Amino acid sequence: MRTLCFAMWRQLLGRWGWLWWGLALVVLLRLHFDPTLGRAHLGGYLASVALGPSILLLRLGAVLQQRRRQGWPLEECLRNPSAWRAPFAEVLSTGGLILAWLLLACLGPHLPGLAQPRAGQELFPITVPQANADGSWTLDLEGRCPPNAQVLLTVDWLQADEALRSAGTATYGAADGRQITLVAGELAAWPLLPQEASQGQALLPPLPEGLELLRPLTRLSVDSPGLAELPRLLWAQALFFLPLLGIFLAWARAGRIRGPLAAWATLALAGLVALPGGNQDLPADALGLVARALLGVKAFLPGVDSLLATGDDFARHLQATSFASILMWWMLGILGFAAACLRRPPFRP
Amino acid sequence: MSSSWLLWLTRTWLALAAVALLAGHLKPPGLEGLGELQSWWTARRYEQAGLERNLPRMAELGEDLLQQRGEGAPAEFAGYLLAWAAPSPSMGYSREESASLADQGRTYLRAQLPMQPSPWPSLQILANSLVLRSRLGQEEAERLQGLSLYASWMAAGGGMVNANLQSSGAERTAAAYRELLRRPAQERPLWLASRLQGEDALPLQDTEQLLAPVFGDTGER
Repeated sequence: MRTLCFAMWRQLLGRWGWLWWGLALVVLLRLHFDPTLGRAHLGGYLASVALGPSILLLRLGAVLQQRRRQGWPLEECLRNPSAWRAPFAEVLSTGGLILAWLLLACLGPHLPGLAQPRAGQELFPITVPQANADGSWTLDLEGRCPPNAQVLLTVDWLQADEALRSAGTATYGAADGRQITLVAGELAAWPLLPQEASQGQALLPPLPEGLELLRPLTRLSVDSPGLAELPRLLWAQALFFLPLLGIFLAWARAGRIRGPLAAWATLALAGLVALPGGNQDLPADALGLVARALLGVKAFLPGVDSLLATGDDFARHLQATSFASILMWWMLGILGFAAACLRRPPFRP
Repeated sequence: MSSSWLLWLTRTWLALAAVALLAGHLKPPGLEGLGELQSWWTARRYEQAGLERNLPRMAELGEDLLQQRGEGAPAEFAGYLLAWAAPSPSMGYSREESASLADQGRTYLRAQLPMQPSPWPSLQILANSLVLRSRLGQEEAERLQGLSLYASWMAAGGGMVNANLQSSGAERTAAAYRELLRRPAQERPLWLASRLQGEDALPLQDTEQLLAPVFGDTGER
């Protein structure tokens, strides 16, 4: 097994591959956390780090195809009739490399001389439509957001009546018991209900008589994690990527699809799973139909998209992923691995 | 080599995924990482435009950065230079040129405002520019519009300078807004104008001085 793993590592990385990966990490760290050139944004860094496992998966596909051409499947049949050793070595070596990459990516930003990403609030523009007939507003939050998200309201008091203007405060509440105090000259933070955050739609109750909502200045505010949260976020990436190896092996070995094609198909599946959930306005044209079909497929897959929350708006996609969803995702990976170990006649190159 | 139906299924799957990717309904892992590289390069070109004092180019690249990674500060700064700093009398432009620059800046800021994560600083720049940098003949209407925007800015207490920082004078601004509310409606424009020209006026600096420290024009890079 050890020989198989070392052979796999050699083929995955090449002779000087480790050096290129190290160099890539140094470049990434400079790009993101250089005190003058970097933006020190955790979401951007996480997105760049996610490139690593994706490249390793594509590389694994290329190696499998290379081995197929070299007659490895026939060797496997002759040497190991139960046929689990080679797939296991492939998972073990590629998974080990993914974990090593994520570990290095976790340690890298702590090096001295690099800018530190700050924890705090992040703001996102949201479109506030015209008020409903009862004066309330139905907000489309453009996807799910964390349960502790708030909507920042700018309220104009100039048209309020004399009593309200001189008081400078007003109570603003909803029928469900949520209540805040509006203060003239201050931003108001309206808390969202957990189900509003998870559905990506919220209802703002009508403002007190005479107060006006400045709709273009309304923003969504979510908590953004700092560097201390990086290990947890990268661990979530590991939980996302490792089962993909099993799914890929099922595609390539049990399905007998060429390695590179199977790797791209697995990445496309990962892209679908990683698509943030929530309501989406889809066009009624052909593209909309394709998107609907894909979202239909996504409905059957476990909701683990938050494990791969990356990019500039990663903070608004950070959710607690249920243990059941993670378990289902891993079960898919394990089933894929089991399917890959099933005995098949040798592949033809 | 493989089950032909599975091969076709895989190819169809990949074709559908490619279409969905182009339509923005798929998020392959790592794709945003490539976008990060692109926006990093855009940020370097923005800095280069700053070193060359090329304000229209800065505005264009600032808009790109806002769209690529939702970062509002470059667009806000380009808007500040166009709408407020460059048309200042000390820059030596003719009155017409200054008014044209300010017009460009205001159009730019108005267009960026809905996309800005923190719109309040842009609102303040826009209000200042409308009230104090208006073109001859359009002054009254623009001034009133600017004062209205200024009142909106005050209603948010100056808003958040960035996502983590409340405006430094938030309490002072909130107190001033409450004072505005206590005044009769007909007195408000005059009160707002005097305050805008006094306490809440944007700092006016020479563009040359402003660009140098921001973009490190000291041979450090």
